[in-house]
Amino acid sequence: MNIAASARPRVLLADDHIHFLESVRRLLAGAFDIVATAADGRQALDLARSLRPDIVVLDVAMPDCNGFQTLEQLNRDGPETRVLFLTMHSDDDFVAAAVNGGAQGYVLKSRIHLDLISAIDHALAGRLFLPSLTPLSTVAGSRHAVQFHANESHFLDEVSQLVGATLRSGEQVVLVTSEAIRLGVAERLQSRQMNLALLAERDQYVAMDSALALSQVMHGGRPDKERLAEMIHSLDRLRLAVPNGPSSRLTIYGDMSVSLCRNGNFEGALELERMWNELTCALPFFTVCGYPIECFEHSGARNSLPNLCAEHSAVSYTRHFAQRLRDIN
Amino acid sequence: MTSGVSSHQDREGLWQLVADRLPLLVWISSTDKRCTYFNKPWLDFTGRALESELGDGWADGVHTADLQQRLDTYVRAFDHRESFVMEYRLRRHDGEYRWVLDSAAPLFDADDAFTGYIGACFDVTDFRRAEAERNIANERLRHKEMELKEAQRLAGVGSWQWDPDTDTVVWSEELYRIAGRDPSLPAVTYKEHSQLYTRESWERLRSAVETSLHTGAPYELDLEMVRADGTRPWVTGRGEAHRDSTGRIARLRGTVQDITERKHSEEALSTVNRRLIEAQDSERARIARDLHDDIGQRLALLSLGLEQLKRLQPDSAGETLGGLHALQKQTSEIAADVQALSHELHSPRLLHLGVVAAIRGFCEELSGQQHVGIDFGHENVPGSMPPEVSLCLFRVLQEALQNGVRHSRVRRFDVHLRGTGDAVHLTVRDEGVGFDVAAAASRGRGLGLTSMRERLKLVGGELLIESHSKRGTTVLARAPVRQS
Repeated sequence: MNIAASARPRVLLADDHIHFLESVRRLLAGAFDIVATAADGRQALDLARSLRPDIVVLDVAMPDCNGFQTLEQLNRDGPETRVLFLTMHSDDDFVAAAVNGGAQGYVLKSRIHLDLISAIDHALAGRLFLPSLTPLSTVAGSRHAVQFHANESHFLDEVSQLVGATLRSGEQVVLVTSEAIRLGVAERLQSRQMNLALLAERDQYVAMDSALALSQVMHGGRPDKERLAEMIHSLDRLRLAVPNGPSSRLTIYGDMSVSLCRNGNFEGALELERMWNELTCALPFFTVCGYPIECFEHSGARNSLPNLCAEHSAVSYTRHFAQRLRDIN
Repeated sequence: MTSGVSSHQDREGLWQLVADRLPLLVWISSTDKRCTYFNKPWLDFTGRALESELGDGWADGVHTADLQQRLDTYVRAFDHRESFVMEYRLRRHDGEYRWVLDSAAPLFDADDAFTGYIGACFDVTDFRRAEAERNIANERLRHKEMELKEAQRLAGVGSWQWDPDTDTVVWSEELYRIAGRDPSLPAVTYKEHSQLYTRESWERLRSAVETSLHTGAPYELDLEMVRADGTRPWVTGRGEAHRDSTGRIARLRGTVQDITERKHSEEALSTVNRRLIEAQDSERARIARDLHDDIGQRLALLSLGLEQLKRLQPDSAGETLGGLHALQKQTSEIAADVQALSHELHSPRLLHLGVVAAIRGFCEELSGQQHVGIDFGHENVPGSMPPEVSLCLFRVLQEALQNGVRHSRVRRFDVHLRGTGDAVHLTVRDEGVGFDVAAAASRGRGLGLTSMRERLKLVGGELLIESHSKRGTTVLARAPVRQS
């Protein structure tokens, strides 16, 4: 019993709201070892120093020393402790500040029952868990993120936001999706006063068809490394050839492997993700993959989900995805 | 004797000649008080024959209201053989009664024997009228001077005049009072004026006076005086140049108005405004915190509880499950509303991420909601600054941008935040229709401008608004930050 308990990940909770702290403790007690709870940042720092938990779950708004200040001090004390924010603040700027500060995850209190356990799991496995990937467009160092969504309209929301934020920051975006998504994104961005035609003319915004792109890299039902390398090479040439100097980072948003999953070819999708990681690891690429939930609703597909996540550095669920994911399980 | 008679006759003829040419009305009476002679001017004046005037006949021409006095004076003087002077009205040939000054003296012959009286009258009606008019005019002038003095006292306005060539200064009494100086002393010369004002005020006044002397431009300045007793009244000084016939600026004239009370009430009002702003801010922050950290979390907990209940339900209880699901959905919606309300009251970005993130976020939100383009740039903004300074800059930005979106009629705005060591400068600029800053300040729209000003005053900063019709508006706010 004792041995089993100590094998479970050790969690420290910090929140100034006592009732909330209790509920979180109850929620997590089945899966984790709650080593202590703290009512403010300073107490959390003291307890983290003495108890050395695997992960600290921090509130942002706390008296004395707020979540961001606590994170900063925890980093100074030792980078081995992972930090996950659990907060009421849904603002993307907060998420970006958390990730920039070295947090491993960010969970909204309103989605605690859907996201918290998974988020801790992802965080412990070294993957960022975020409510939305948009803030990553402003965070340096992010590489290969995956976003799971329940339906096309949520997908469109997320893509439009991420593409919009990236373009606004002056960086280059390549959108590799179906025509419907590309048109939807264009419509939304234009309604927000963005001149996509002008950005496309300057190669700051490049739109490609995902089915066409996939057909170019597949060979005999499997992704072909040389063909993928050729595609990546051409994307990097695009990055270097932007009229006002090479982009410091190329953001690629795509759903190329989705049709593989839809056809049950999870192995092919995994291989493609793996090759992508291998071939882009030295390049300043930030890739976001979008997957619809229905790909994983077959009983045979569920095991592929953790493997797919493992190929990504950051994970995000849209609200309905999390709900349906729970329903599946 | 003959020669005597002849010479007497000659004298008589000469007298006649003179008397008839005198510009005076001459009469002579004998010892019985009755008149024996009237010269020609008299007869011409009254228009009567000598016969009618002789004896007591002349009395017919004296105004009845004056006659008794005329007679009394005459008889009394006569009995004492004294000369007399009196005024009475005498009817002229045209029927008009004219005032005459009658000067009379007793007559004595060579033997000092009393022979009667001689009198000479002079028509003084025109003199009297002119004098009366002069008196009235004097009275009016005196009255006007009193009025001016009183008006100056009541309005707290003193006036002055200065001749730059001789440095001669004339002050009104009220100006002496305002400056706290003895009115019996000469006015302070221009050269000595620096002692009347604080250094800063004197610099401004001197520059305005020099400009006025040079270009003839009038000026109006609020100045802080320094009295000998150490008190410091605030005044509005106005001045304008006056040119001589050659067009040369010969002197400056102007007024000095005591506005100390106005300044005090402005300051009091300003203090009240600032307290209101402070109270409102802290109250908003408290409500926002309560909504966000307490109500919001309790709603999140409620949602979590509902989720746990859902899991406890057996699969068959579909209806209950559906009900719980609906409740959970409602809870999330309320939570989202509460959060939005809380953010509107107080920006959590400002609290946790700082003023740059808060301003950037606000610009993005506003540009999304209002479909406008907002360019936000920043440089050298200190990472941490006092919360009241960042709140001030944030609120001023909100007000300025919302004003711009509402009134400028353009869709592009520039927002810039710049740190310069000891201060942070916020600039909000558009190229819209612009507005009249002074007029807006006195109308309803001024409320926003006032609150921006007061907010900056609270942190020791200042606000400058430049706006020109059709050439856009620039709002500049400067908030000092202490170096730590």
